[in-house]
Amino acid sequence: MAIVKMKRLRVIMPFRLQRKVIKDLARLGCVEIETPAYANLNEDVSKLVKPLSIGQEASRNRSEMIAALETLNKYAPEKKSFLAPRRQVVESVLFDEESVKEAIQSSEQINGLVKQIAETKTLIGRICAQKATLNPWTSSDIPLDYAGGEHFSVILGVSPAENDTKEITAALEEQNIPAMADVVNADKDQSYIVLVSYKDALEDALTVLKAAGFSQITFKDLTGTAAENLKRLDEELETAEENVTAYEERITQMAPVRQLVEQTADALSIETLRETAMSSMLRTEKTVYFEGWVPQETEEAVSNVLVENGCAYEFAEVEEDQEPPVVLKNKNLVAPYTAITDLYGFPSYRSLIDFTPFLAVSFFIFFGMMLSDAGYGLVLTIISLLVLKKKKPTGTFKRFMTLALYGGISAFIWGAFFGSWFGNFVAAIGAMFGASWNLGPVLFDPLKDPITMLILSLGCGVVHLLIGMGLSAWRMIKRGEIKDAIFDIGFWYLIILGALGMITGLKIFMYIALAGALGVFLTAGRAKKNIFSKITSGLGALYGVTGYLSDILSYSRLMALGLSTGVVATVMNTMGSLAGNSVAGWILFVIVFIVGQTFNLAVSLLGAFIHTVRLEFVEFFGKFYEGGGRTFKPLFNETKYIQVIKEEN
Amino acid sequence: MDWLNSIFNGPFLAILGAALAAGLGGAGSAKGVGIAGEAAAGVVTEDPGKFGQSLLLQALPGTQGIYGLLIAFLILNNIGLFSGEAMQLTVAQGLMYFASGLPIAIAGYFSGIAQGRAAAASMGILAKRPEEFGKGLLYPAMVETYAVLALLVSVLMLINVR
Repeated sequence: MAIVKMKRLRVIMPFRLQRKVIKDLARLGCVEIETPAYANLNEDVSKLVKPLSIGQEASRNRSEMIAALETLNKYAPEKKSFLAPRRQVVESVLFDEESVKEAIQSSEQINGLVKQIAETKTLIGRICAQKATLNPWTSSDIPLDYAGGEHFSVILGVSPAENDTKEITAALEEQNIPAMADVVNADKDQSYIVLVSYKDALEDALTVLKAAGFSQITFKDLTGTAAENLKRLDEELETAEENVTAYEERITQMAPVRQLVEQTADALSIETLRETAMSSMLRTEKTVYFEGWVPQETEEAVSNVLVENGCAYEFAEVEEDQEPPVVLKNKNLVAPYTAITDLYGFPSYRSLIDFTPFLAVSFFIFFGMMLSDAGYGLVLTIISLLVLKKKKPTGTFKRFMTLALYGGISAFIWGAFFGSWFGNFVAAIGAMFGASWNLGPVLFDPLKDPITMLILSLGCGVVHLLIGMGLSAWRMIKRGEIKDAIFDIGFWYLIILGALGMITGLKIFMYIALAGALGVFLTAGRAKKNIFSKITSGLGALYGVTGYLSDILSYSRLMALGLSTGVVATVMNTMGSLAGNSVAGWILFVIVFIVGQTFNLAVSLLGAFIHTVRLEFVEFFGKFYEGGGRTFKPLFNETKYIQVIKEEN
Repeated sequence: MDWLNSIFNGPFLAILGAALAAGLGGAGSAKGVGIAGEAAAGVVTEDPGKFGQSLLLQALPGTQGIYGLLIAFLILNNIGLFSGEAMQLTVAQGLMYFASGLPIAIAGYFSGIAQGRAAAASMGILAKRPEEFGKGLLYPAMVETYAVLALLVSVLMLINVR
């Protein structure tokens, strides 16, 4: 049975035991807590109970830590091999109060330093901006706050670069104004002007200058010359930059706390999960009540925990109106393929049939046919084995790595069948030595014999579809809808098998197909009352033959993608061997081989995976799948950085 | 009419077929990958952690270019361009090679663009519901079916040219 039978669990326990029970259940990892919402309770009960409220502290501290870890990774990246497995930590160490406190302190310290760096960087920006405004005035030795003496004024200002400053001087002279406009600097945007004028003539002088686009500039709060100010700013800038370096240095020095912070972040995420679970429960003054789902096979383990803690509990059968979450359970070899089902969305709890073995076998075959290169198969097998052995992944990642391992094996087998080892690698090497080596196909070469390959592909498709329809029929029979199974599936079997048999030329197969078609035509409208709607339903159902046709043709991708892998690999080898049998030629070959084959492997891998998934989801699942199931999400110690292990005692 | 002769001869027509297959297939993929890439950049702006997944989605419309390359290579290989021997092709044979390049050229160009759009739309799934990323991979793959079918027809035509 693929879909695990569920039991509804109801528990009442003393309030003081709540934390302990949740901790034990989380370690067991097979109870999904789903308590009726407070609002949905009937009045009698809701008078007694109230929802729990739980603090947000754990989750807030955790986000602090994750921010701190990101900072650490930025300033002091950890040198860790991708293959290194996750560290294992004992649960009691994880929740040690002292170390939790220390981790919180450290991460607050790191985040504080980050804040200081950000503030200092803002300051640096401000200093730089001020420097930029002062720079043009360095050649003037007039203090910036100097407005003039008793009889004369000094005004600083700018005018647009396109206005000729010589004209200003000329105009001042012409009108006999006792003033002087000294251009101290000019860049491509502006001219920087110091205007010195007798106080009496200031207005006239300004009129002349404003005609040339002059506008006054004042430096607030600055004393001394521009050069002096710049010197001071430079010093400030240096201090600020030194501070940033010092802060960064201090963060780098905190790198040793990384492990502690990591494990505490995980501890807090476990804590957050537990608190969320607890807050969903209902409580009276002294007791707590919750409901949940438990897979039947773990009923005993859960009972043991509950008995040990002295809780009152019951396991109830699933009722008609309840929709339990779904766990797919399968034997070891096909188990990883539930990852594919997961991708599609889980089947409904009441969809009855176990399709995973069929999914697994067809996935294995199709993936290999599309990747179809023994060399790539070997590479994929070795890499996934390495990751599985060294990294010891868990969960979804592990399932996908196992899928990659199986896929690699399958690609190796099909590649050997079709005689593709990194494309024509052996022949290409032989050609460079001037020899004619060849590693021939075990079965046949799809490029030389495309029609056989096409028939093989479509044949796989027909079998796959018939299995899918068979699964649907099986479920109908299980539900006692035997008539439906015969009418909706049986007749189509006749049509498809009859049509296939017609290839042999025997008349009998044509009659079988026609009988099936007649059956479909007569029975498709059986639910309809009106004779006309019966006929149109029958015709409409027969039109479904195009659907089956396109479904079958869709499997031609098995051939096309397989060919594509082999030919592109061959293209790479051909390009590599262009320079012939020389030192340079071999260097070129090795480079092109590594780069080209890696590229092709990546592209083919993506293609093979996606198109296999498509065949399963669209063509295969389309025949029988009843979706809408909800994934079982038990409360367990979910971690990111470390692996929690049991106490040793 | 020398120029007419140089156009209506077997080898040129065959090479033209290869040129169209690689050129239009590649153009369709380039456009598609470009469209998907624009959307991917937006997703990564918000969350750099999604780089790997968005790259995967962006790569999906890239296959048409590879299919085009494949057909072009097979045509050139079949007419013996790589072995450097003089090609003896009649105009009729050349036209057949030309025709065999057309399916992947046409379907590759248009499906590449359409797949790019679907991939760009799937970036939305990646951005807003990353847990449903697997489903987002499938929509662009639906488009690719037609490039695969065209590739198949091109291969079948090509292999049977006599």
